Amino acid sequence: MAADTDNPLLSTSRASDTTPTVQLHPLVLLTISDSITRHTLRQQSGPIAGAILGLQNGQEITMEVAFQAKLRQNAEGEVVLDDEWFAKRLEDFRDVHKQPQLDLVGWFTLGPASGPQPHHLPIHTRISEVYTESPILFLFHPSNAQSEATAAGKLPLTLYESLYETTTSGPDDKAMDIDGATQTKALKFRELVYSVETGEAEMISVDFVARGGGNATAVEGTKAAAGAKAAESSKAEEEKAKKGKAKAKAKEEAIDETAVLTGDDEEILSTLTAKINAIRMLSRRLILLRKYLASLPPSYLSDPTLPLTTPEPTQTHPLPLSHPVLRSISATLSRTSILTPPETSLFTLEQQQSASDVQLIALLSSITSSVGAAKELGRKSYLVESGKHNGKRSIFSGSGAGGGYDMGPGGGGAYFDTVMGGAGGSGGGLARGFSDRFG
Amino acid sequence: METAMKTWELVDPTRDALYTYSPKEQKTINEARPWRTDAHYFTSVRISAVALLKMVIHARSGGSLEVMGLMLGKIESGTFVVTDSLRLPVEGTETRVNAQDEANEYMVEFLNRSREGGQPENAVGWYHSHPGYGCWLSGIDVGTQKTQQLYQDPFVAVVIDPDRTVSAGKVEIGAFRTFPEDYVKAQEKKAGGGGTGEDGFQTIPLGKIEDFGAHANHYYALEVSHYKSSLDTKLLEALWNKYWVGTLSASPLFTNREYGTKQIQDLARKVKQEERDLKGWKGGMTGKKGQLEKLGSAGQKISREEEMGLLAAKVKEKVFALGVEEEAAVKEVEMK
Repeated sequence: MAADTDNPLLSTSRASDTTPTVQLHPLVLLTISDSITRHTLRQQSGPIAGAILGLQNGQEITMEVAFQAKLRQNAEGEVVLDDEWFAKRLEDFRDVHKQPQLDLVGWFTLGPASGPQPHHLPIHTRISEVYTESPILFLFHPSNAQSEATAAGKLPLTLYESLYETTTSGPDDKAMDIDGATQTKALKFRELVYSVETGEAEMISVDFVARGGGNATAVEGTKAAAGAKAAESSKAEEEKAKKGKAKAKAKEEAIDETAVLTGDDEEILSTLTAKINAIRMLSRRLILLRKYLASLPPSYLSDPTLPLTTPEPTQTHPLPLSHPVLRSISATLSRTSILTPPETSLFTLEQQQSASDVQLIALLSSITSSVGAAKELGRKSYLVESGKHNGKRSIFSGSGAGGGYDMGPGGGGAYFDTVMGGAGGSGGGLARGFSDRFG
Repeated sequence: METAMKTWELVDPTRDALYTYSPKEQKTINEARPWRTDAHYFTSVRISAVALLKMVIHARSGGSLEVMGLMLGKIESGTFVVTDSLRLPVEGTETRVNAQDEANEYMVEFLNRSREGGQPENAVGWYHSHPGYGCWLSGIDVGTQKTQQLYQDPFVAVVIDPDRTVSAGKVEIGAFRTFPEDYVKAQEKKAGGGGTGEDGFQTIPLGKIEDFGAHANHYYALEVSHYKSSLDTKLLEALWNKYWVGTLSASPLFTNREYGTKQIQDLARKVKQEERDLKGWKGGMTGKKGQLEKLGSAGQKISREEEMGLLAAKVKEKVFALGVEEEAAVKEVEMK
């Protein structure tokens, strides 16, 4: 938490009550990453910087959307925003983010982990003059992106809020207000703590993108063409089979159906896998916590003979005791007990109700499918019976009248005419084959 | 600047090739115009991670109103590569055929500014949302797309269903191109109306089914896949460490209650209609063939989604025992 005192731009004061809390959305991060990849691969010149929009509600700031900005060099050779371009672009984005109305809350650029550099100042001051009083500086660290820390979960970025501090003058200065003289204030940056938040749709698409293989290798011309041809030829085959060989098509369709079914099973599989991964993370975290606690040196709480001071790490217990960490752990534990619903009976009742709702829906759906299957069975058996009793000619005439659901002829065989009498061809191509031939 | 050098380590020219852009190459492709002669020339669409994320968020933010936007990108032998997307300030494309006229000024200005800002890509398509009623092209959509393909080709239409996305837990998206008029007529003559409608196994609400059926053979679907850069992959790995909490604590049964109810209602109405049709003497064999089967599979889809929601709730119960509120147990402790 202590700022790196080597960087003169970093503030040495600690976070106060007025420090904003920031919620970062993945879209911002991915936009920045996209800008970097594009900028680098297309060999565009100049630094990368852009704006971040979000909601500001008192001390709570969200960062939801970002866009890359056009930069230029001003008369002093500094890198600044192209003001006109930027203003119009900001308006573009504000026009389409009206509910809720997003606004400029900060800006991003690339920089080292040691903190903001002097060349970041011109843009920062410009934004604070024109748009928002204290924009948040989002510093992306490209050098950290490859590191192990990132693989482990620490994002290669730091957020800074800016504040004006009275310049620490030399020891001779009284640092008091001198009447009539303006006090010099320097712009300093203080690191901010942030959390990553997602909306539900955002979470699903981030998950989707993360999981799907797709890397961005260029499209191969021949492969694509071959793929298209294959698709077309199989389509043509299907059409041929439809006209001539009904049974062959039936087989194809039967195969298709099972393929589709496993597709849906795959849906359930992937949700379960996601849950498993999440639970694994949870268990890993808990194990980590327990290991940490177990490895702490014994203190006076467990052994009254030991002195009252904070124990130092020893050889057998190498980890230093960190009070803030212990406090958070105990806070979590006490929260768990508070959040148990006071009346577990009502809670379990609700749970059971939702469970039974779901089962009810499952029952309904299986009833619907069974009705369809039953109707099909009835139609088939009617056709079979008419075929048996009446001979070939009658089959043609019988089915000509829309076989299967007339109340008239024969009425033999078990066919369900009341609710569903029509030609719903469920469950099997054989029926379709029949209807193709006779219908 | 040294940061410029550092960024080179973050990209991989072969694996991130789709992020490059060569205006010359695009121009030659545009002049050759192979899509004029082959109605099925384009077979797939590749969407970048950023574009996909933006589009899904936009679609969801519209609630039950349709939203639309534009997609920027480039062409690569039979594939649309969508590199970015932008929102358009219009709503409800279904009822307003001229929505595009109002958005035109915004579009032109935005694209100009993008070009100045270092994004020279052209518009390669448009996207819009069908909240709750599936990914297909309505009559108006087909008309819009046909016009676009006349004047702005190459152009692709993408449809996103945000409600189904959230309910099913995976992105529901489809990409389509329409056939030119003479091609459609030729098809109809050949197969006798046997165009492959793109319904698959998705349920289309009763109110929209006629619209769907009437135009189903005027367009075909393209394969949709997404891509991400190597830097994206690294960041996403890191992000997973932050949002696994959300995955575990999601309550799909509550979030999707309204959507699920609507689906069930719609299915019920369809069943009633089917019953009415079959009691009478109409509804010949050719008409409602397979209708009941479709209803059956629609019912199965609904029940499957509900089951997945119940799974989530059950998992939470098992893991945290005693039916304790999930948020508490999942509170992350920041490890220094």
